[in-house]
Amino acid sequence: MIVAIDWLRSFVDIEESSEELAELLSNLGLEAEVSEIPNNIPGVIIGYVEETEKHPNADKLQICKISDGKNIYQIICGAPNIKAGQKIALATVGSKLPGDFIIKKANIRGEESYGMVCSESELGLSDDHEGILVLPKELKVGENFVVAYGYKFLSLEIDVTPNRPDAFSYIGVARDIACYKNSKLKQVKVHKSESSDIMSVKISMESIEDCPRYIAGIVDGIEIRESPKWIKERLNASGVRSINNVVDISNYVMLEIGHPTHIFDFKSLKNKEIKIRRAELNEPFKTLDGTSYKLKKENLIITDGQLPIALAGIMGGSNSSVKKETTTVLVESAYFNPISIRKSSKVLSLSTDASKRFERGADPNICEKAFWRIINLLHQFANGNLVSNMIDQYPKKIKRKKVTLRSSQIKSILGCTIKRSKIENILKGLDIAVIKNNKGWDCKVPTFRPDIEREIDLIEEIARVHGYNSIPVDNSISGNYRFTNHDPESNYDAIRRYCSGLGFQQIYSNSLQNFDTSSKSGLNPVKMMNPLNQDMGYLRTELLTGLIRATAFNIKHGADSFKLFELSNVHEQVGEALTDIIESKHLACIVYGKNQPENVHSNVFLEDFFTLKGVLESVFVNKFSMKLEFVHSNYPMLQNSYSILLNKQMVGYIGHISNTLTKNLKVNLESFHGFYVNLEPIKNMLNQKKIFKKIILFPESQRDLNLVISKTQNTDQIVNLIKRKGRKIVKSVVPVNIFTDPISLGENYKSVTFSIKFQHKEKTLEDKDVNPIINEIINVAEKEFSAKLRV
Amino acid sequence: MINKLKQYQDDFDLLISKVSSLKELAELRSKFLGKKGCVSLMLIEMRSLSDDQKPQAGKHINEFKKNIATLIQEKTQVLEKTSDQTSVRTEGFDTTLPGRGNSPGSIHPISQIMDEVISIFFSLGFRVEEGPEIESDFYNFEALNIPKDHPARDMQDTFYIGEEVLRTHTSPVQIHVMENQKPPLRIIAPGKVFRCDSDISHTPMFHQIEGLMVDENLSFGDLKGVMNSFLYEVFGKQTKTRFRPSFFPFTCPSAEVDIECVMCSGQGCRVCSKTGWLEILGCGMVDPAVFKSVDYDPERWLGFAFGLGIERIAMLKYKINDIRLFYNGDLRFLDQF
Repeated sequence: MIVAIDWLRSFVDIEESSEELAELLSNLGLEAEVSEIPNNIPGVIIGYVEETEKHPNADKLQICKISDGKNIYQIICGAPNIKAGQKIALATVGSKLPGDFIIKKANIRGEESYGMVCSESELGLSDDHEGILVLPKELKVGENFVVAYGYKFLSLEIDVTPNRPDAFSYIGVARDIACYKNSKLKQVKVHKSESSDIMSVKISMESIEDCPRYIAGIVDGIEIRESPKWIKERLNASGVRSINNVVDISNYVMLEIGHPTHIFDFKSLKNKEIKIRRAELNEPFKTLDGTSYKLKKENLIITDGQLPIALAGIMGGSNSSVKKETTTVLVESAYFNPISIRKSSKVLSLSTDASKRFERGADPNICEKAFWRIINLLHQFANGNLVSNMIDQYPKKIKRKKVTLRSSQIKSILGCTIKRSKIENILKGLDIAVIKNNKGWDCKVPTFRPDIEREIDLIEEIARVHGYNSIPVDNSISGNYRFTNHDPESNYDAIRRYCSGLGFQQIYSNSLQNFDTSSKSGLNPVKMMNPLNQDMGYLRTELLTGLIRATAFNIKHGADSFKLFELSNVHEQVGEALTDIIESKHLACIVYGKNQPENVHSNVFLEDFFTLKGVLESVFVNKFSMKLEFVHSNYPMLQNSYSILLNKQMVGYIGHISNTLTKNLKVNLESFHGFYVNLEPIKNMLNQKKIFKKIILFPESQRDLNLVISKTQNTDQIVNLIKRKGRKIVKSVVPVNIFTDPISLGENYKSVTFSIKFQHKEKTLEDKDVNPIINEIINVAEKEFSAKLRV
Repeated sequence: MINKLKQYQDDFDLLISKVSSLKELAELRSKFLGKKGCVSLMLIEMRSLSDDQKPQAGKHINEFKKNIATLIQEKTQVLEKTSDQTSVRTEGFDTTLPGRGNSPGSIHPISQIMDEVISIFFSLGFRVEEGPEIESDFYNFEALNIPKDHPARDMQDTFYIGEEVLRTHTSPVQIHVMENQKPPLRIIAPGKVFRCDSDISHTPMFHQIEGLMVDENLSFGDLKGVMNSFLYEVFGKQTKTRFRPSFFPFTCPSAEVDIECVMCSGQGCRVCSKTGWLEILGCGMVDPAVFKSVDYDPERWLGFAFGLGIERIAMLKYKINDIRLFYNGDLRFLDQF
């Protein structure tokens, strides 16, 4: 809501600057910002157009003689609406306009120009740049523009929270200010003109649930014309466009006292009656902005007994709108159910200034005042006279809510004591009636505050007006405290640390993907009903696609080697039912490019499968003591892929990133590898307690064993054999060298050197302990794997 | 005897002057002071001397022994020093070459801030609780006092998945915890949240930490104390804070907390829209309606809740100007953390 400070002064005294007022309102819970319109436009003064003549060298330009009361300036102006005799805003040479635009002396097509005649947009008053701003005649020439006129446009933009429908009006904002400053609120006064029964209209409601109150009256003799300048200025300063006197009056009253009303062209009504009902399915209706709708059951409509003439509380119809020829109008001042209006507005995706106020909760008991205010203004500014009674259908009066407030509870919630007199002042300032009782107060809450229903709501009101910053800080953090140090994320923290220690960079990528990407894994992605766009219509089923995207991004920006990981949730739609969704925490890593930058110390090679296997070993085998195995398999996102088994559980896949995923990326596939691990099945195993194993004090003994085996033979089977035959004294077996030579070994063989470490818990090992084991290993290896000892 | 000793002394002086390594020195030492060295031989020879000659001879031998031991000791020190120097290659050794090995990876700033926030609340006795990213309408809205067809629903643009929603805040974790645990409680709930919103400062996916404390004697003053402690820890002890009334359906009274703008120190700049203040978190006393929905007695228990955006804190703390930098995996960004 845009609040013009000058208009606000009609309701409450304001001594504060715009900035101070914005801060004051923010501290009251009406978050306010000073809008762009400047407080001060140095150098801009009120000027008088003495004469204009056509520029000799330009058709559209005029040479103007403009007076500031002392001197006459020659100014070249291109605005079509400039005329002699006007008062205008003159930006003299040296003026600084909004946007730090400084006015200089100029020569325009051979004629000197000493300044500029300003439009509204150049002054920052509005977006209107069609022609110059013509000022009221009574302004004094030579005066500072802002002081003389621009102040009317100084305004605040207030972000009204959904609980405060009352703050959608000048009187509501003023009430908060008056309450805070303990000053007087100047109410809008109306006078009820004498009723007449020349004309009448029948009002009926289908449901008093939807429409608890409807007031109507008929005004005749209307003359449609422009609104008086001050109404136009006030609307304009509040961000509302002026249409004509009748429409403007309705808008003016809505801003002033917060109640939306509607004015119908009475002669357009086929039947002289008003019936409020729900729309039929697909009932056609054209709103006054020219849009055609097919209505739904949710839409509450005003009809003339048959056809809809307005969407109740949202917008009038084009069939009954006020036109130039209108002479008789029907004034509606009604109260509609907030939920009904909200549903109606949602179902058509049509939100208006009126619907915003009704759906937050208008005041059923201000309808009458709003009606008379409209009638008074129509009389004053549109020549209209009420020719009917005020017809008021209000079958069940909505009363002020009664709420009991205990002073003990105020202290307990806020943690401090506020004086009783201050509390009473605050409540009274908010129009809440208070009667003391032995524990506190019995309060009656005005109907324009539907948000105040309970004691806690009253306490909030007291707190906000008293000032949150006046409530003392309690640093004791007292209370009962159970010591638990449980953090379900802490195991994941460890994984993040290990990965970053291994040179991987953590990324976060978007959980939202398109269908194509999110179904690359072969899993069924979770679909959103209302995606932002096609590219974000599904939840990802795995993390590799995000890493591939980041890879492409970085390659595009010049990176040639990197390692990335992500640790996040993914989702899968597993069953028919929408609720059959599985959420799992995944870890995914990719390696791309060289293992290290080119350097003098060592050879550089391309990253491969074994870099990633190293990560799995470091994290899951070394740190979490799990058993890691691979099984050759087929995963659609990877070429040459293997299932990853941790402690016999299938948890993910590892392999080359498939070239079907990288077709459009400039990626060297040879070095692009990735894996993902679903952490859910192993979550509980990440929490293992570590138990110290005694350090063996007897020395290790190391032997190398060279075995010639078939080229296709996996080394781990030999390693396992050595461990098995090791009689518990083999501490470790590592293949340290692989040698192939067709001539000495034969085409189909390789020689593998196994480095074996022996250690005994209770003695120093000697050759006589180790040799028989080595011999047995050789024998069995010969039998089981046709291995030969290489000498 | 004396002459012999003198001869030995001359031999020793000559030999030690030629010694150039610790190894040679050790040989020399064994030649003179070893088991079969000159000194031992002299002592054996001494046995054949008459008793009255013995003391005199013994004295000379001891002096000789002492003398050469001292000389060897001195020479040892000299040689040790030079050997240290010569064993280090000095010529052609280029220390300006880059070191070996890769640079370490990094933990994403969102994770880092998350950890920092969590550890601050740990120290205040809070513990971490988690919940699913896909929630029912009940947990995301209804139980938090956001009924259907209430304008408050417009405060959070929601992604729908059938009847379920992508959680718009981590507040539903509050409800899960309170349904299953008795008060008193001190919890924080970090996690991903989603809103149907995208512009320069909003992404449809972001991260939040929600906190909840429930106890018997908690007041708005305690809430202010905890929020201030937290903000001083993150942004520095000198940080100014202000509490403004606001509206959240699940708290009452509700507040928004501002800190003095970190960019302009409260002078007013573009980042803070010239107000000098930056909105940093939302909080408030738990609304009795929320307690009712989980069967806590609102007359006995009081509580406060707060919620903050991790991205927002990271952006202010590291002065990051574009929220999208968090999600494109740009190494030039990640390398800095």
